[in-house]
Amino acid sequence: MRRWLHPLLFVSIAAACVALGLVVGSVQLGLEELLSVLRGRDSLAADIVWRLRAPRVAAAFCAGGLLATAGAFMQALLRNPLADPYLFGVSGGAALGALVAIALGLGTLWSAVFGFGGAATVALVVAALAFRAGDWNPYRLLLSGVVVAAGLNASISLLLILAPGAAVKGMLFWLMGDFSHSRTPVAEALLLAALALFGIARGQAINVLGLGRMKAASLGVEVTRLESLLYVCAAGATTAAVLLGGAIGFIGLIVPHLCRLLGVHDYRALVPMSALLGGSLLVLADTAARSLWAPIQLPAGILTALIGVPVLLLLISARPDAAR
Amino acid sequence: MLRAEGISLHLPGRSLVRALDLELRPGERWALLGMNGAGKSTLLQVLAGLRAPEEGAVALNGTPLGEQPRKMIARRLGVLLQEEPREYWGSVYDYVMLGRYPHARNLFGPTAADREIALAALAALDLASLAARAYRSLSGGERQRARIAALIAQEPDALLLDEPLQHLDLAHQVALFEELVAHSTRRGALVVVVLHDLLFATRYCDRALLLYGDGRHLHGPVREICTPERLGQLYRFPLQAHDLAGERVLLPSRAPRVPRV
Repeated sequence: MRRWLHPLLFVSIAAACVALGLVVGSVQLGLEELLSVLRGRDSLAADIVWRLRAPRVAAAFCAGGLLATAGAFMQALLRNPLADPYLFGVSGGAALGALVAIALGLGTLWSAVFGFGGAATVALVVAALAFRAGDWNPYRLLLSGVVVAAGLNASISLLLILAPGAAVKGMLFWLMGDFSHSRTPVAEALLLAALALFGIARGQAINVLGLGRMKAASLGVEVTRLESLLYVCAAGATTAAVLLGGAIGFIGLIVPHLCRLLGVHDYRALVPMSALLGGSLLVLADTAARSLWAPIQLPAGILTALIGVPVLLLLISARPDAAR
Repeated sequence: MLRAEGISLHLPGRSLVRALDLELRPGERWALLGMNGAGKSTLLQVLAGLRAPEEGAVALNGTPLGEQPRKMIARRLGVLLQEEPREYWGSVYDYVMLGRYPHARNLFGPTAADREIALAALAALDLASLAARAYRSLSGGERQRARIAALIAQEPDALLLDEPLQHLDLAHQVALFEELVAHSTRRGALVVVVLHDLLFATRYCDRALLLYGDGRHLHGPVREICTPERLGQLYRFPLQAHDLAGERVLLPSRAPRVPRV
């Protein structure tokens, strides 16, 4: 019975957040209307739900889930609880690539292509710096990632100052995160599902890796291979999330910790639960971002912190042993 | 079972071990002795395939360690490292269960057999009553026993232990070595132990390997190797043999002498 408690809890949270994201907005829908829409009735409400809100909710859910799983992978890879998906500058690379495309006056497709190119370049450069003599060096990984990210941030600031005023607004999307122009995220949803399955399948190996590289190797974990996989998964998930909704902060660092505070430590559960909780939190933040001060739409990234910080502080203070 | 050929270990500017050939057979219990920094832990890691020697190679059952998948090695050879984590999120039982990792075959968690083996390992280390406790809430000695229990649960044919006695109280020190002897006699396991307590070397081990830290090494049966003269040279400290109730024990002399560096 206790085995099903956490999955049940996290799935319910996700369902509640998604339902909230579908009914709340400039046209408020009731739960009954939502149910009738889900049963397939054609109406104005159906148009609102399926055409306007569902793609946006799905995009926010996928981006949040991807960032949270990326955060869980990064924390496992660096064996550092403060690791965050943006640590390596993957988001900075995506933003810089996209900003260059915007500054050159290219279209949205090109800014996505440039964004992907920037993220991939940064991921490869940081990996090349950290991977020496056939092995990962977590210290070098952390340090080169932080340095590369700092360099990218400076370049982004420079670009923002030099860019013409009209382009800056489009640039801010990449920096703060926004889902107002999101498409339906099919590939991202598949990636998220694949990463959750990877977490379930390789979770025990990741748990063993937590004992240290040498002990993990003595227990039969191919450490270098697993760490490479974790790096690729984290970089891929971060890139996909940033291209979908911009560089939304906070989720990747905090959601795995929220899961741990709720009693989920085992990576076999932590990865899928982080995916669910990260998605839920970002849907909630985006719903609040577009409805709290409507018609003004806030960047969802601001709301993730505004919602997440009090929740986390509450949980930390409720469990005095949790911070250890 | 475990065969080392031409092993050399270097530190920058210094040779720790030169051209060591070893044949470790099932059922043997080896004591690995030497001063601090003589290369005992490094050699143990080389024998476990966790570190490549500067020269030479180690083969497990005839196949070089570098050519075997880690999981296959871990099913036959297990290590207790000198330093293992203090922090772990789960219970003592969860920690010991990690020892079953190399035997895991499916995604659906441990089998009933895995659970039984883990519980037996907990009982063997006198941890049955602590199984549900949080690993990080244990005392130093209890944690050390949990680490050893995880190694026992791994069910290797070769057990390599680096200073397993650290933090253990007297009763658990003796109980550990009785357990190791049982493993080697009943199951024909190979046991290699890095030790500083000579009583456990002379009472429980049948072979000894001395590392002098300058490239020299010496190995053979314990009663030939563990003499006051040889160990006195090894530790650069005088030792005396005493007869206590029919058992020959080696004790350090009273005269304190600062070891030469």
